[in-house]
Amino acid sequence: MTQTAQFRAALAALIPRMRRFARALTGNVADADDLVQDTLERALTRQAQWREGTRLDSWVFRIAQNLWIDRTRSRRVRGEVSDEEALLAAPGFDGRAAAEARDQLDKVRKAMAAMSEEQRVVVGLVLIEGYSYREAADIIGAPEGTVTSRLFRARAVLDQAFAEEIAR
Amino acid sequence: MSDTFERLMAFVDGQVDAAESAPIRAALQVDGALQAKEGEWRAQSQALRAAFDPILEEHVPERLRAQVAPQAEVLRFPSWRAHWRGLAIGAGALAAAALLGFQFGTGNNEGLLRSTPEGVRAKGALAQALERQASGPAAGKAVAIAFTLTAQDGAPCRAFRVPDQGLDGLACRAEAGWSVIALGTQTKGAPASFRPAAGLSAGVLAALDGLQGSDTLDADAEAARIKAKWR
Repeated sequence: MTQTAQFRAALAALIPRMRRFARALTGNVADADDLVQDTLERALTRQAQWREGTRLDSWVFRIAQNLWIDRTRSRRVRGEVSDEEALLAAPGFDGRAAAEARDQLDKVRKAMAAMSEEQRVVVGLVLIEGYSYREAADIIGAPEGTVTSRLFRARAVLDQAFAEEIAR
Repeated sequence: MSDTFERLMAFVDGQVDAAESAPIRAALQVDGALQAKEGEWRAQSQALRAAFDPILEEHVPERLRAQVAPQAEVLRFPSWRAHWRGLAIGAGALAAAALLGFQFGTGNNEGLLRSTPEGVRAKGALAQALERQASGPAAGKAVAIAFTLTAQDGAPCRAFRVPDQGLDGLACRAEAGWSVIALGTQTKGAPASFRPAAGLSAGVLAALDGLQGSDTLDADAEAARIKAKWR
């Protein structure tokens, strides 16, 4: 196989994880897959910028989160629908789940919707994709302390979502 | 206080090594609030994974798979039909063919090629050989056919040599006759033995790759196609 064929095969293998991460950021299937599509496109056009021997997955997730943060910022500037509304309205989760599991999913969805974009990125990278704080810091291009503080605040949002459900 | 909880969070998230985790474990033994938080956070992590992990098992949409599908490694011509409409053998190539010594028909029966608006057609002895002659050595004949194959779009194509002129080429059968899609000069001292692709010029071999065709037809299959007038 040529180098390009290997690169394409490696990207193809990452698609399921990219879709999971993108779903965490966008909250719905259509926006998530659009984001994955744009990410793949950028990865292919910028293949030369990826240094062999470094992790392709980290590089691709960095592209995805940059695209998403840029997009949400420009959307906010244009005064479009808030992300929270979009998330709450979006059929992003599996409807076949049993009642108890659905209740859990509902909490997760509400909590994700209530987070800032930056918090959601860190939750996606660390709690869903399983990156270490250090790796997540490299991906978002920020100090490790920033990851910790964003995650800590995101945990507080999760705490609240889960506590409200219990209080009912 | 917040610092203690931040360290607890790092502990829950598996970010601290054994030495660093010892004091946290000790604190958990005696601090009910810490214990409660640890339980909540572990439950949250589990709920997040339960919500998002099933996405890994979902069917990947075709539009995403197509984006990173393997590309053909062979340089692919749009199709040989596009070629004989003038892409491969355009005016420049025609001039080159003339320079190579191909005789163009000017009402002259000796000519092997004819220029048409759709490209270059075989005529005369070349057209006859392409239409009726079996592949293999052709002592005493003007044209030798090297082999026959079927292009990806189903058209029969034949590689040929014009030994006297040291030329070779590739032609495919179209409705109106044989379209010549590649021409070349054969390397000097081409092998006397008649091995299929051996001795064909680089341009003709490249055109063959571009056809993405079948394996060469064996003698029986070829004879049947000739008998059926390539229909």
